[in-house]
Amino acid sequence: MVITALEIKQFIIETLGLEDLTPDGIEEDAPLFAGGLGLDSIDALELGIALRKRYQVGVSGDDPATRDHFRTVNTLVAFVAQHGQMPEA
Amino acid sequence: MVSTPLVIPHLRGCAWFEEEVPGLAPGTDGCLEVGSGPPDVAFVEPMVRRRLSRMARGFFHCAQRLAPPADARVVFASRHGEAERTLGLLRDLAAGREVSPAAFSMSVHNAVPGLWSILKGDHAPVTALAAGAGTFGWGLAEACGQLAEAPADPVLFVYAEDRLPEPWAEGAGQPGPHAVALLLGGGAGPRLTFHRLEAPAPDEAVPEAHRFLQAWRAGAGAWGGWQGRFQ
Repeated sequence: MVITALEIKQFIIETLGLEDLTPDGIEEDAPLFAGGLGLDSIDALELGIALRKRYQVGVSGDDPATRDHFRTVNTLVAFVAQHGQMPEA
Repeated sequence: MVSTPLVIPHLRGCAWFEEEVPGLAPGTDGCLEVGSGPPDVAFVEPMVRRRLSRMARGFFHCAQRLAPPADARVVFASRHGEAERTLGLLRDLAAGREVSPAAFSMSVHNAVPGLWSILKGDHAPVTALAAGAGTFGWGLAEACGQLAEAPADPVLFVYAEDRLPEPWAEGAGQPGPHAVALLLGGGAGPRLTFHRLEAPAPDEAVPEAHRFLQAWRAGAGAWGGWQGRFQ
């Protein structure tokens, strides 16, 4: 499926209630967790569930590749583009 | 027989109401501040602030204004806690949906004082309790007991309540979001001597915490099953 960085940023802001952030405030190639945007492990779980709901992508906490998919906005875009399905309108 | 009086040598307080309450005009009176309107949580970093409910914002607003010492023990009391989050989780479960990990983690009763302790880097013990209609009074008694165990170290007591969501709401007349923070034993403020009434007054329309604040302003009075004097 086709998905843009802007859509993923809006999805992150909406899912995690980042009330003080705009899409422009999230760098596409900066880490989402730890030293970057500063998301935590609860955010990771929340994103995993929301990705499954919205784009039907399976996310496994046991899969070491999950960490790479969740690293930045760009890696998430690539992951959803490859495995996701368009949300039903 | 009159029960043994409890004593808090010094008391400072800050109360917050989303909407102004009749009989409790906003203003500062000695060591008690009463405020209303949007809570001031600008001091909380955005990544923490986004997880704060209305009730939690009331907690943070009031506690911050008392500037408690870094390692103050915290006693948190709330009758209903994060009822709105809990209801959302129950609705998701009933509908067979996955529940939100963030909502779950913030729905537990000690979540709000837990966030406070993380924000402040406070490693002192945290107690979170609920005691039905008597939650404020028993919470204060617990905080007083903890102070008696180590009188040199102040105890931060915070009571916070949100409006109950439908279908739990009991209709009109229930109090809006409010919070009361008290610093016990901080070296400033009046001495409070109080005791349990033998025949507690029946559950009245005015919430216990409101009556406590009114008693403070009047210098003496009763709240729920308690009576006390501020000197």
